[in-house]
Amino acid sequence: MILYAASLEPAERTNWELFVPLLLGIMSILYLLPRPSGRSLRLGSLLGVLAVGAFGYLLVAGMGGLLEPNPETVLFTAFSLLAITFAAMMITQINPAHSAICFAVVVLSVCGLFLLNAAPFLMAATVIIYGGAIIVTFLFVIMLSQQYSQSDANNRSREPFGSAAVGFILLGTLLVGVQRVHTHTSIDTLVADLNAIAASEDYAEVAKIAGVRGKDVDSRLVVRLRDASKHLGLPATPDKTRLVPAYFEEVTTFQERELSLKTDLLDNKPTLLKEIRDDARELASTLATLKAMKQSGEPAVRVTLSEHSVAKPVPDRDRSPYPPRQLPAANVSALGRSLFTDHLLAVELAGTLLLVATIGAILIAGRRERGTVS
Amino acid sequence: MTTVGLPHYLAVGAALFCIGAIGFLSRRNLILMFLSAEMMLQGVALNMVAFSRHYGNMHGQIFTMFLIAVAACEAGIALALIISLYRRSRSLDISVWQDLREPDTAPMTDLEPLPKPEPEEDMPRLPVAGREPAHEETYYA
Amino acid sequence: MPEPSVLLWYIPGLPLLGAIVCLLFGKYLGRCAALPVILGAVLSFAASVSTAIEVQTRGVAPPVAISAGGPGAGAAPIDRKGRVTTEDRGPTVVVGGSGTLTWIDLGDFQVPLVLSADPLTCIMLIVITFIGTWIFVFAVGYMDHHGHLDPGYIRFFALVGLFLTAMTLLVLADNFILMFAGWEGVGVCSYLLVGYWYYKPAAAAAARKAFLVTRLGDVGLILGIMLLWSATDYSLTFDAVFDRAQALATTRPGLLTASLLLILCGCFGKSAQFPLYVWLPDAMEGPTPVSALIHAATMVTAGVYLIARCIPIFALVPEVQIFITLTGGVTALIAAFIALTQTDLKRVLAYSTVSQLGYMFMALGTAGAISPTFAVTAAVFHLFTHAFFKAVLFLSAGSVMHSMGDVIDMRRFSGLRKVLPITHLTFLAGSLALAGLPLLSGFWSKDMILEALLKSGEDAPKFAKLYWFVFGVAILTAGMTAFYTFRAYFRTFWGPKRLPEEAGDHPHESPLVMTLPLLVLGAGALVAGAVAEPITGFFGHFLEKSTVLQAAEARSKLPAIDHALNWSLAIGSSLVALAGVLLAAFMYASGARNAPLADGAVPKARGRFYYLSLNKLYVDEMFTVLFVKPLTGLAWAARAAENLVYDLVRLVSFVPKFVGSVLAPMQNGLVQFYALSMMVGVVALVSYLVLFASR
Repeated sequence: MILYAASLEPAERTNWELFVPLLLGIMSILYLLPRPSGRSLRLGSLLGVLAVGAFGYLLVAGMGGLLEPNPETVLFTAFSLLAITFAAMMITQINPAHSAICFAVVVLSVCGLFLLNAAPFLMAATVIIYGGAIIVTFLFVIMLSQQYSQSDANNRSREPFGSAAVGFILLGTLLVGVQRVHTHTSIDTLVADLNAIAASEDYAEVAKIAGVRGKDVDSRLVVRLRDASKHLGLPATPDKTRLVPAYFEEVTTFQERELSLKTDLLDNKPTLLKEIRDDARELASTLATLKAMKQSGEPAVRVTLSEHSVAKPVPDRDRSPYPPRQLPAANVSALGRSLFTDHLLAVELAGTLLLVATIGAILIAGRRERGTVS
Repeated sequence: MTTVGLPHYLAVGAALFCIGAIGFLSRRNLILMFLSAEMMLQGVALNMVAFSRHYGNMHGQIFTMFLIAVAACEAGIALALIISLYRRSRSLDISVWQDLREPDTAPMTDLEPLPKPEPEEDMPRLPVAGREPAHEETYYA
Repeated sequence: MPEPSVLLWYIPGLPLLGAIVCLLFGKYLGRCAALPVILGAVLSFAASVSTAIEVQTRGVAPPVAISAGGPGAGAAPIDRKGRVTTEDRGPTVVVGGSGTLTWIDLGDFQVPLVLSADPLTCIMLIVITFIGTWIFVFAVGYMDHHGHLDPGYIRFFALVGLFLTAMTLLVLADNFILMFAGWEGVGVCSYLLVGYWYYKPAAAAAARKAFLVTRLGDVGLILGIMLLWSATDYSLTFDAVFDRAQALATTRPGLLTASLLLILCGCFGKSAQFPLYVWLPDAMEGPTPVSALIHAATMVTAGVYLIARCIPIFALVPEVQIFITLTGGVTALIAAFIALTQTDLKRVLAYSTVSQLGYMFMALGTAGAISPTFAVTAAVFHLFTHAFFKAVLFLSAGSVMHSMGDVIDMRRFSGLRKVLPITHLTFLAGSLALAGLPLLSGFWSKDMILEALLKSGEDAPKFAKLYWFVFGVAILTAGMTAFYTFRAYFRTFWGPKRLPEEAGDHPHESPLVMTLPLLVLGAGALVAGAVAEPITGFFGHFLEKSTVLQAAEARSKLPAIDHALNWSLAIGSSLVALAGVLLAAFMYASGARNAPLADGAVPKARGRFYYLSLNKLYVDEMFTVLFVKPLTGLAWAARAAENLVYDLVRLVSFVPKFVGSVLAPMQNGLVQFYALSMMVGVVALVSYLVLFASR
């Protein structure tokens, strides 16, 4: 994704919804990281709350479009902001036990997000293993390792500025990359741009939106159309016999219009404005329809189900690498099937790893006699 | 109007990862460092699961399972090591362990001194009950 | 009687053997460690005498040179490459042979190991070995400091034996390079002997100065020899070179002049002419026998010998000859001027040596203008007599020093004629000879030189007026010579008896081992000259048989000089000398000026010249400014450049160390610091890719 993002155009306007949460976040972390000379808890918490709020805004509105107010959005936002808040609290607590508790809350929030992503088994597994085993083990170790001498290592931070700067720069970079990729591959923004072209009267503006680059190079709009068709999984040569008629019609229209727009933009003549606008209008509506078809999950291919088929119709992966967003409801069985067929070797190795780790942990932490070298 | 999609989950995963990185680099308690590392793994796991949903196959979730397994192993070994280190230095401060430095460099010490412990309040001491306390003889005229 | 061919090898060989025996077995012999060397010198003298007799007997008709080649020497003459040919070489019959040893055999550069003795060589040999023997005897007593020997006794005698070897080799050599070997040998021995008491910084510095200044000359000498070698069809033997150089005078006169001037450099250095005389007064730091032997009688005469040997070619170029004469005149005058005010007795004698050497050069320079035989005879005769009286003067000074506890500053003693009667007599003899009082040896030789100068002033085809001018200078110098010599004599031996503290309880005359040589040499100083020349005419007749003189005579076509005495000249020079003596007597005999620091009371009217003389005309200071300081500066610059190179090399080694020390604190053992560095690297890479590297 990094390389893909690197190959995309930078955004044209400053990305405030990205910078504000980052700035607020770094300031709050710096205020909250423990220092022996005391930290300003109130200011840091205030800034932290503001940062989390700004990040929520980024999630809701800044990643390529406003989210619909449906329960998924609400749950997602809640879980995410909870996770991030408690993550920040975890790294800034003085008492390690408090940190462990905050970590537990982070784990629970992430499990909620797992559930939203149709991974119930993982949710359960994570809660059990992390919250049940790992955190408890941590708490046991904290209990066993009481500090004897007076030390306020817990009150000090090693290189707060360095680590905060590095972390937030990395976060900013990743978010910018995600944004760019999403903006490029998002069908919605493409549809919006096509609508803008269809509505504009000025050839110069059209050329700017389309990103016309030269006589022999495809304009950016055409590249995006190509990527969009790839993401939508449109077949290169639609087969009328195999595809659903409505789908087939949409696909052919799309491809015709795409070719015409491509040649028009290559010629780069202002006289072709009307043709370009027509093409853009058609393409916008086609794309929106295709996207809706994808989202609805209707199969694009005519499938005949046999009576004994076990699974729901699974779209042909070769034809449509951008399948409808549907994971099987029988999550555990799908996991098991995939795990023990595709990833059998990895399973065995993971088992061996667990065994070795167990033995290793016992050996390292086991009782030593006095005077032996560890 | 869009629905919650891959980029949103990726953003959250990135945020968790980076916050974990900050915690790992800045806190000096071994336990806290490790917890932050676990949080980084959580962020990655979230990313994996989001990709799994985005592509509609199970590979991401399987990867996440292995990730959990590895995290468990790592937790076990790391805690065993922490206990060993604690036994040798009686402290969970990672700054105690600096012996792998260049021989000529001085060890890093804390610049700010420890805060002075608050002096204990002098509580009044009561004598043992039933005994007369020592006092001067005064004659009352 | 052994074959003549082998006898010649004894002359340098026996002192060398004596020196080696002394070195090896000296510590067992105690005081007798000197015996092998003295024996060697005596036997060498005997060999020299027999060689001279041989030369004399053979040379009744055509002159002859005796050559000592290697073993099995045959009878054929030798060609330019040292190999035997049948070419008839004229009047010279070489009694050498085929199969001579070759020292260096490098194609065109052939140095055969051949010694030859002609009359010139024989005279030099007799002087060297005779005076050398007596000086060795004197040194036995001199190096004995009232009972215990000087710690370097063995070293001293070994060195003087070695010196004798080198000097005899120098005069016996048949070719330039072998002579140069002897030349360098005497230079080295002089260095080692002047710096004999090496722990004295003044002595070490004086030795270094002597060596380096003569070195300057030696560079010119070797260049001149090589120039002649290349110009005369690659021949190195004297005879061959002189034969072929005859043609050069007409075909390549510039080359000939250049090579002669270069050879002159060497002679000026070794024989202490201006400006390369500055080493000789400082060389008085060495023991007095060394001064007597080396710096009076033998080594400093090597230059005179070389010019005499090369007179056939020198006589061809009148410009070079007048240059020699002028230099000799200047030297004589300057040295006499400086000697007028010196307070150190040995220094006075040293400047006197320089002055007399100037006389010899003045004589040699007239060879082209008048008959070369007469010129060379005058120079060599003066060399002969000068050796005697200067040696006796130095040895007397040594005797004075020995008695006065190594004090030689004339201001600190006076009236010693009662204390040291024999020394007084011998010193007087030497002084009279040096001053040139009539009938004594110095008179005859100096007179001959003056006559040569006078004749060239009249007869010289070129530069006659210059020769006349130099004649005037010579007369003036004669007067100054008499004055300063007797100034020294009167100050030391007349006046109230004053002894320095170092003299001990009661100083006495030196022992026999020291006074015997004094007496012998003193007698020689008085009569040797008279006997040799005017009475018997033996000297001149003997010398004129020398091959080189014959050769020069054959080419110069100048009229021979009759040997009749020039009465007016003789009387004139005698009067001048007497005047000098009387003036000195008047000023110093009473001892009135001999009070301590009396010189401070010298009439102030002569102030400027007096101090100019006392400060040796500042020649040493000029040398320092002209040569020593620039060389020191160059050495300093070289040292600085070397340090710069060292610093550059160290910089190369410093840079990685520095970079390492800058980077080393990065390894501080803190895990989180390392993790942060890794993160910074990753973040830098990722952010560059995502944010900045766009298509």
